[in-house]
Amino acid sequence: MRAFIVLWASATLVFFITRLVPGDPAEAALGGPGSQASEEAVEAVRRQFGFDQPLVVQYGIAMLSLLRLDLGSSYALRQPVATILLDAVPGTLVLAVLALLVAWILAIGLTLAQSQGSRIAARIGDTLEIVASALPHFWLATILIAVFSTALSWFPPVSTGTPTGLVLPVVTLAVPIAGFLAQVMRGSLQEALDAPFATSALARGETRVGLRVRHALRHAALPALGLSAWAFGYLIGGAVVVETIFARPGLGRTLLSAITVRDIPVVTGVVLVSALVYVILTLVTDAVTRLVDPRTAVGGR
Amino acid sequence: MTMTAVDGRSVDPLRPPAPPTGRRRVGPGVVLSVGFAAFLALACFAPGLIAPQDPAAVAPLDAFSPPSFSHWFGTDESGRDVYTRVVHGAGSSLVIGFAATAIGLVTALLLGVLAVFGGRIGDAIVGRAVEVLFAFPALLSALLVILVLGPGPVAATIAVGLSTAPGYARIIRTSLLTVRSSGYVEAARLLGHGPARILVRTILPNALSPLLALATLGVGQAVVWASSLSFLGLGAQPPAPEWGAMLASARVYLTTAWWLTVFPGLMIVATTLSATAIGRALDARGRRAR
Amino acid sequence: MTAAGPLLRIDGLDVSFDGGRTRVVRGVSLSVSEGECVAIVGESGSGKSVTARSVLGLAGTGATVTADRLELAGVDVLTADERALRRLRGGEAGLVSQDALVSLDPLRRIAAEVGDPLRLHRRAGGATRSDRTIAVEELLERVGIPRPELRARQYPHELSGGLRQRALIASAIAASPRLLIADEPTTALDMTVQAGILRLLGDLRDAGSSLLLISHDLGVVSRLADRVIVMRAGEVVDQGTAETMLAGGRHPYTTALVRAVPAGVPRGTPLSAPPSPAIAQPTSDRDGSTTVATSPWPLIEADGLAKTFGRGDDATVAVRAADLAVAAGETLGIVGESGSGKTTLARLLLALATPDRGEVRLDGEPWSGVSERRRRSRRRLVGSVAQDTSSAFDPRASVAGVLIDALPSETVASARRSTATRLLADVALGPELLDRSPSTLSGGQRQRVAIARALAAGPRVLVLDEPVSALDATVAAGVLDLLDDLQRRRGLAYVFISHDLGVVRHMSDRVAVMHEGEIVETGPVETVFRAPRHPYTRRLLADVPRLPGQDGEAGQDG
Repeated sequence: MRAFIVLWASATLVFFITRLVPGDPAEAALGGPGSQASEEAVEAVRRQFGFDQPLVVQYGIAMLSLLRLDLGSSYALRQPVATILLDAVPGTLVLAVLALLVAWILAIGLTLAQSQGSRIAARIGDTLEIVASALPHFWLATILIAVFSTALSWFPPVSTGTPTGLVLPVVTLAVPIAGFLAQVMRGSLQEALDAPFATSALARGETRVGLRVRHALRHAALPALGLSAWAFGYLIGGAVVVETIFARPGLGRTLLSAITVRDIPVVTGVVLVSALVYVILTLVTDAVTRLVDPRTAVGGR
Repeated sequence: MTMTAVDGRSVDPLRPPAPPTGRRRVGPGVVLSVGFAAFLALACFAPGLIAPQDPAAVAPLDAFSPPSFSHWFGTDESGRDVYTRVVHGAGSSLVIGFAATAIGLVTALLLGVLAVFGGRIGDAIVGRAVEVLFAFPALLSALLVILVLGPGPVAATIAVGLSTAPGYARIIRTSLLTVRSSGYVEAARLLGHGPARILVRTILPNALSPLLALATLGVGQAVVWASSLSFLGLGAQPPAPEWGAMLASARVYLTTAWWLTVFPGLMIVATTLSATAIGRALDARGRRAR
Repeated sequence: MTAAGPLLRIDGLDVSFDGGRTRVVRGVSLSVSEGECVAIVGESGSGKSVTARSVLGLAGTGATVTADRLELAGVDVLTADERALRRLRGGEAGLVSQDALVSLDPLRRIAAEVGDPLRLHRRAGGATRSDRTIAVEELLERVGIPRPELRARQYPHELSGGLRQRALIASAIAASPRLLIADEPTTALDMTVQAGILRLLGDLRDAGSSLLLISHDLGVVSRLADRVIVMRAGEVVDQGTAETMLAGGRHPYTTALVRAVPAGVPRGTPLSAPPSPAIAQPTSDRDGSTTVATSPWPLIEADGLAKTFGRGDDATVAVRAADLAVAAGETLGIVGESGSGKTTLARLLLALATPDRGEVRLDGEPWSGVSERRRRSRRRLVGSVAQDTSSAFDPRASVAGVLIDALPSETVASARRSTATRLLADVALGPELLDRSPSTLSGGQRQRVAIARALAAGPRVLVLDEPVSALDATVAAGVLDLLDDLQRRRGLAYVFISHDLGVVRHMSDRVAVMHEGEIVETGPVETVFRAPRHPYTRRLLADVPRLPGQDGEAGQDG
């Protein structure tokens, strides 16, 4: 229910934002003012897309067609938006899911490596995390290409659809997120290791490794888990940059080209898909959190 | 005076073993960051002092020279000195970063105050709105703003500012709520102080004190976002010596002239890093004071 | 003592933090024999917990521990390697800490927490999961947890405080250690629950366990200990058999500790000795020579007050039909356990919450029924002092700022600072604290500043909600004496709320006993304590840990 409200509100928001776009939408549909479309053509388009109706009616029609999963058709590509999205979504999803996975693995590794050892290890890890989270995707991507494609020729600079083509884009997306996750995780891991229950566990004869595996890691994962839906959104945003650089087909590139030509139905479609993904992910992370943390299961939110 | 002898114990021997972060002095990272921030400030207000050359001076014969003593960061495709351009670009990149953060914070502050003091309805509206905005990844909402305003540096600034507002709003709301339900605000009510006086003299100063640290961190992130937009061709446009735009035009020459990519990028990373380090130090100090 | 010598032997223990800069334990020596119960008593900062944890090699991160001898079950703890230490932890000595809600891992089932020592120490029944299930249920049954098969599958937050503490004890004794270290095992618990836990610890001792009991509470200690060690600021200042120590010991600090326990001490007798010169007033002078004349009607009165939170199935009745009246110079004590509604009652009296039914009247005029705007000018008549001093002050203000902010607005600007100084003197604090931040003060000093702030407004009624519950006994004694003295000099009416029967008995003229939102019994304090009529009051009084030699009238009637 809550999820539905978020989706509906997103759709509404996008509808009104796109109506704020300056210029005649009918002309935009024909390729903008530069297209020199005839008055009759503009009039026909106006009627076809319903731009001659009052805003409220347009809104109602838009929402109704959304309910029928009809996203309209692209101005620029003359294709149903749904088709364009179906082509674009899998590539981005694979990218984002892999990146999130790699980020989690990196973050857990970094966190554990620091919690074992000395102050120096903690200091280095701390610096690594901050640097990682400060790296802009576009710069990291170009550096990775310079090193691993141009200089070493290990991985192709352009996504080819082969698994090796995925490596650099996934790493580019994963590193900054890993930095964020590791910062959060390390904080809560330290908190868990300092908690009274950790003392109790050690006083029972628990080993240092056991304390981490059986007790502290779960506590550390909780806040990072809560961040994952947000992180996924961040990844989709990053996909705009990464897909452009690596010339990968996907949501991000679709969105970018739609923005530059003001192809409003496609923009709307992409935004709604990412809102949908966010909503689904929130539900999933909530469910996982309830599994890991029995306190939330009973008390509700 | 037995009582004060027991009572007046100034140090609690059990307190000192606090986590090392609590009593960390100003570390080398923070010193370095402040130094870099000073360099940036100079680059903003008096770029000629540290980079006397003309950032737009074209010298086709010198095109693509690698870093050397005469050109620390090398030269670009038109033979312009990259170091000079990086220094002169600091101004526009930072102005965008600061302005975007300011836009984000002010919007968030309005939302936060409405949520906390707008009664149950205000809170419900703002709460839902922020929740919905969270469904829009930051770069996506920035792109939507660009869609409406058209590409350009001003649009990019507004876009980055608005897209960071929901995050700030959430933090401000929590902070306001915590302070409003604190013991000292209750104490002020019990003394018969009016709501306006309590809001201005007690709630706002305490709730907003963490914002300084937050804003510092935010400037770093905003610089990254804004340069991302420039890189995509939606913010500052290439001839301008803005870092993101420089990177965008450098992409073509990545294989032949790596320095065109490395140095402007390093500036962005260094800016974000020092903002983060300074922000975290401010935050730690604020926490200790509280 | 067995031939093998004591189970635990400590000689010249030193513990410091910060690379030796902060010494929290200095030269402590003690021993515990098989089957013996030794108690360490001390206030916060005395180093008692660190001493106990050092026994297990768990003094804390960054701790430097040295000792001439630190032996547990014949093993030298200081030189033992990690494996040997792990064999000791849980195997030879179990640890029970304060507050099982945080001392048991909230994300793990009771069965996992209690079963871990069996697995770690390869004890009988620890080998397989199904064996452990049976062993865990036996353990839970042994510590008096009903329906162990159900409880084992639950999480700590699903158990009540008492059951949780029992489960923590079960996990500490699972691998049958010979020594049980109990660090403030009953501190966070209600009186009746506390009594049950103490009985359980007593049973374990009778069954042959050695006990090292750490507490700030002499009453808790008096039930169980064979020998008592008193620590202060990291050093042992006094030790002896339980009887000699409870009689006052040899060291003046022990005497002060015993004296600070207010249970059974008549009203007006100072608890802190010698009385501080700042409040040196004629003691036990209750004839009212300095008392402000009382008004013909009660200063604050409540009539049929009721407050319910939530609605429908979630509704909890916090207060139902409470009547009370307090006159000038009088103290009404309100006792009850956690959840009894006493804090809600306080908030209703302070008009921080609006009653669903009933009315509060202040100085004969309506108080709860009028608008906040009309109340504001009269708020100065009612002051409040709460338990939590850490969030009671604006973190940005100095002590002077806090007090000046509380002065009536008509105070002349030039007189404000001197008035603040005088207020501090009234609560026996020096003017040098004026420019300090309250957060840098000790708990006792902060509570005095809170009292000074309440006085600054010139109140006639003070609502005191657990004002000394967060303070050490000797510090609390000073604050209680101060409150007593202020009341006598200013004729204040007190509503004194506490879970601590001893404190309420010492402070109050009349007492009201709250249970599940209801005032079940009310009357003159000595009448209620000596001849309680309501069964709940009787149960409450029966569970009070008592120092020997204190009057036991409360238990006689049964």
